[in-house]
Amino acid sequence: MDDDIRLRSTLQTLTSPVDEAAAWASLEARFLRDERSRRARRVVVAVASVAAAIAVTVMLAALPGDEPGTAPVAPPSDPQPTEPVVGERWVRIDSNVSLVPFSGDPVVVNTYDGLLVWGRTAQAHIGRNGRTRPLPPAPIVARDDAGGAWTGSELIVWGGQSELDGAAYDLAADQWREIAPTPLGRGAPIATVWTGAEVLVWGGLPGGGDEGAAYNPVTDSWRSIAVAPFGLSRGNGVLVDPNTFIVLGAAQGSDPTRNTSAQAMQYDALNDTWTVLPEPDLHPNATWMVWTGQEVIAWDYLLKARSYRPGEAGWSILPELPLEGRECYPGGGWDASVGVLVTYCDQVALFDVTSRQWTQEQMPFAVDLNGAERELFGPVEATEDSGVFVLTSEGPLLFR
Amino acid sequence: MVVGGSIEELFRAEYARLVRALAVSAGGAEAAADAVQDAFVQANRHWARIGQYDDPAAWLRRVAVNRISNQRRARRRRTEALPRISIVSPTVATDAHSDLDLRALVAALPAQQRTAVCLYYLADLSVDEVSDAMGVAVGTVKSHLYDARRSLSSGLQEDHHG
Repeated sequence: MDDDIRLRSTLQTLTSPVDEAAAWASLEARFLRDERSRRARRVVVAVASVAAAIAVTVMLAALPGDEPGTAPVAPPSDPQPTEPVVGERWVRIDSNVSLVPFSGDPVVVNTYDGLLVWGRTAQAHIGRNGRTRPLPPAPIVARDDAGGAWTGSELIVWGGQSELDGAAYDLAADQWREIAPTPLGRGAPIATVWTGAEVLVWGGLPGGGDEGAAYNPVTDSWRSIAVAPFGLSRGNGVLVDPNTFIVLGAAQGSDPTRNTSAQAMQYDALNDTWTVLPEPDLHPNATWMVWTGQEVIAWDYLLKARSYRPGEAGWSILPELPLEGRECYPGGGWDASVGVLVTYCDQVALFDVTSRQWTQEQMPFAVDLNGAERELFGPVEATEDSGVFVLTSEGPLLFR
Repeated sequence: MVVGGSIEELFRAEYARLVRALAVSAGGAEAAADAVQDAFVQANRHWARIGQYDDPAAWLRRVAVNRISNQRRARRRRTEALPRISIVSPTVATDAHSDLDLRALVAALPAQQRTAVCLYYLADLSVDEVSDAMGVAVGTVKSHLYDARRSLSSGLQEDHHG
């Protein structure tokens, strides 16, 4: 104990005094700048929305009555770490859920106390503490490539490569219910998001769809939304605010040798209208994006990266990802405490939104026992404060 | 902007000790202040929710420690050949020679051990709190502290005897 006290007092000699008053003044100024900056962006978005609304006045009369409500609010996350740690920032979430072999993607949603996985080979709730609970059988056939969203109490799954039915799983009650038939003609949506009031489902196979619909879990009913200017495939969608939804992907039927950029569109739920956004100059073959609360960060499989703030005239060029070029679909997730995590083949990169720099992150499993690399794969789901979940062929991991 | 002034209370309680501890861990007061201020900006942005947490300080510490880790990795990529000691600016030591020796010993610790030592000894966090801040298990923190104590103690003894 004496040694402990001596060490503490010795180490104290290394510290410097901190000028709290100056630091607080500096911090208050930063709070103010941050608030002004966010307010300015909100004004830009609002002005853009008003302009769009004026332009489509004729369409307003045909608007459906339902409006998305408030944004989903995540409950405070459990700060308890899971273990064991593998590498500097990876934590293995011990579970007995078999994700191998897999084909296509299972639905994975973040329930903030863990993950709900529903697909052909796995249907389970994996708690952050590692406790895994199998789900009861769903009233629909288990499949991959369905769309899925977490409403705060239910997992809504819908569609698939050839299926057009859906179901809802109540996590607290541990029971499923079938949901009403959809007006859509394509499954495997490229984007499924919860707006706070509805599950918005858009795009789909075969061929990349241009149609979408919104499901209201309270009334168990669907409503169609406006048809987009064109369909997209091989991409994803993010909810920017409860009324604004951005999709990014390859234009339907596009020839990558002629159409050299991925395309992006924005859906305005208040006015039920779509706007084609500027081209991000990302390769249409494979892109992914996340919404950080301030901007869209998008990247492609050629390691180019872009950012976009709603209302701005174009995409900003970001530094290239510090990874080796491979042939994979990139994935990724966002968490305020870690940044933007990109998964790409067997590599991982992290983008710091403050310094605007990428760093390559150490893989938790560089080489397996047979000398073969193990591949990370999406989808990745993120919470705001607790790290980014990554599903791997070795099971779920948390990057924090 | 600030909900109920509570973030200022959090600042008064946590800022100085966290900057002091992370300055030693990160090898510079400026880097530590940047990381902790970034964490406060994030906390302020989401204060309506974070302020409701049982322990907002735990969230803040974890974000700051993560930012230090990000900075460390970015710096390692840029200046791998630069010895850590060269980025440490001497402070208020009364004995410059032994102070730098101690800094060198601390700087030579593996990053995780260094962070654990600084949070435990300089920020006066409990082992549980260090575990939360670093996102590792309590047993891992204890192991880091044990190993770091051995390295520092033996290094200091060698210095005194030598």
